[in-house]
Amino acid sequence: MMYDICVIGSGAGAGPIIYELSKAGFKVCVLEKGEAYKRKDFSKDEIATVRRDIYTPKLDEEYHTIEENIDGKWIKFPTYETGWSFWNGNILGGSSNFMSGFFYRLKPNDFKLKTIYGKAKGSNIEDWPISYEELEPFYDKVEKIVGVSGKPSFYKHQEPRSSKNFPFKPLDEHPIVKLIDKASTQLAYSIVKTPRAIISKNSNHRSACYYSNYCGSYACSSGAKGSSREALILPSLKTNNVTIIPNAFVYKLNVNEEKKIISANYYTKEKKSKEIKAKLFVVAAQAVETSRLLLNSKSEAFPKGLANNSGNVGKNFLSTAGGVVSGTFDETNMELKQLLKPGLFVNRAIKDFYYTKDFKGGMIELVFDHANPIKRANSLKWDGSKLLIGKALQDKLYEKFTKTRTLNMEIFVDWTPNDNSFISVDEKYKDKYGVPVANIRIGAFKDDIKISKFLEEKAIALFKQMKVKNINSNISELPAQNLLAGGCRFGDDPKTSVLNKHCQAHEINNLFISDASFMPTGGSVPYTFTIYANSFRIAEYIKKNYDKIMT
Amino acid sequence: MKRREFIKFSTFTFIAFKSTEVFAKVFTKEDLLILENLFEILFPKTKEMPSSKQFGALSFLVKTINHSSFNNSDKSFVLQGLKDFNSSFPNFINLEKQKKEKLIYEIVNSNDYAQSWLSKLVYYGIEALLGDPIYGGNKNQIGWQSLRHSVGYPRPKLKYGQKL
Repeated sequence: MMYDICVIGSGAGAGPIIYELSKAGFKVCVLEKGEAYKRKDFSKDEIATVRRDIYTPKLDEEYHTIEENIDGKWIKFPTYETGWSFWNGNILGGSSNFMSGFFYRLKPNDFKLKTIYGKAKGSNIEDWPISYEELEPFYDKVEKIVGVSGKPSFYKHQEPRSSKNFPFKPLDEHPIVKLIDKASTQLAYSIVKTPRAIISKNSNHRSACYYSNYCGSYACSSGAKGSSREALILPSLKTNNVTIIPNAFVYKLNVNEEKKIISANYYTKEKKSKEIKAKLFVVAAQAVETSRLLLNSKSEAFPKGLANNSGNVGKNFLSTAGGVVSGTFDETNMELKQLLKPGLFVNRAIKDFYYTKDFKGGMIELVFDHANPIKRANSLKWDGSKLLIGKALQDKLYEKFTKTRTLNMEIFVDWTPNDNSFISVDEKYKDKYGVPVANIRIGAFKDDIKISKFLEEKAIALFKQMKVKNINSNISELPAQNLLAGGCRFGDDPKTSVLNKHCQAHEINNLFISDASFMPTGGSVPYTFTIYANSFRIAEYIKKNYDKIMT
Repeated sequence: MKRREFIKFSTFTFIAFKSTEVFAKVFTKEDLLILENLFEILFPKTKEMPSSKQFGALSFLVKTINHSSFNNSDKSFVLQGLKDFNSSFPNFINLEKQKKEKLIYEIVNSNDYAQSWLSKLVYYGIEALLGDPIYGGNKNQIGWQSLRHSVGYPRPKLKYGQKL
């Protein structure tokens, strides 16, 4: 069978392509590395979901190498040795199943940071080849189709919106927001309410959020969370134009003499190699794996990897650094019954420092520690370097669980692209299939940590204003392993970018990349909303230009 | 992990460890007895909290350690540590309760290997205390109830995220 379109991956970058093109009548084949779970398969099982590798590969079978600078030398650490997993949900719908779903758009100036702030020495920063205005209609579309709940906030950096309101009213808020809003006002911070890709009323096959108390890290059991699986793939199946092949790990894309991709090779769970033929290929395997696939797809026409004759594939990997400032609340801050209320959302952020006059700042998201009691209890077993056991351990668990609650301020800052932040492959490190794994060099730009520290001060000030006694701060330049972007950035110049402004490979007409790989800069927010919006934009281009692309 | 520092308590000679050999045997009766005693020292009954026996720490470990999702290096470490402990303190089981406690409290924060190994047992004890009862611990949700934890629903019908 020759498909019109083969999509590799099924997460946020893939969903809009599958949804839009199947509705337009194209025959779409989806190759998903993981299992095709259904909503009823999910539960709030901390052991399965968080403590074991159930929805991600086992690290001793499939892993990454992480290249860190140790005393001036770059050293590779396989993740099966460190346990620092960079997998984020290998199932139908990808990691969008497990997101917390706070959905912020990028802002107009995020598309032109180089123009506004200049290019520091050692930075590879580039402006985007498109503007906010070009992406805005697709953000709007995501709000309506994927479903975003919230209420627009008014502060000086608020981006323009074509729809006045969000299609779903805000989710119910935890009473702690009264304390946050009061302290924010006292500090002259704007009150910014978090929009979420979680619906607050029933819509088609999806039921409203039921405040399970187990949201971030867990797949949703009502369909309220706007995962690619719930919001886009399930509706697309009704077209009968979509074929989903789960447990299909794509390891190579094959080209013909005309430099067109003709097929994808994948391994089944049983390690059998199979081939799928299609006229057009869209890769959305999450940023690291997308670059890996291209780099591993070497051929006579592309000896350095697919679409990589320019040598740009894998370059300028992005993540989000920052860190977390935590504050522990107790009955001196608010009535315990109120403080310990489960399930409700905090839905507050600090965004006044997103831009400053002299440098690009970032944002702070306020969120309770996830419910995960095993994770929480395990963090309590230490008293400095001393392991607590016996009555001391039991008493501490009881006191902390029943009388305190921790609020986190998660700091998000831009990751400045640079020569020491990239994805590569190395023949020495192979997975269980014998395929070279991705290496990620995680060198942060020297000035990025200063922005995190600048925001740390703002977070601590807010906790102090709320009279929180126990404040802990962990600022780091290490990447967040669930926020991966770049590696195949888009741009107008084929010498310095992999993709054109439509996210079509400069070097191969029938190859598009629709995950976060395209991003030259990532903004100071999680990427999922922008991935969805951009993927809808790509889908529209393919839909309108399919015949032209094929010629 | 500084295994050799732990072993200094005895004349035990380290023999190269092959995980497959140990996994085949898993726990002997003596191992189970040692673990049961250790878990009771790590998680004793208190005014507010259940003891390890009450919430099922040992039953949880026995039921989960052989599953393919159990961390392989943790599994090796739990089993090798047990072997080393037994070699270092062959008379542990026969000691009076207070002497057993005294010994564990003496080594827990004075010996790196002992601390690492006991912290691993504490971790799996915590999994037993607060994981879903489907895995063999948290009997009758006693762990969740003691800590007044609001359980998330739906609870699992099958273990390890198996598809229904």
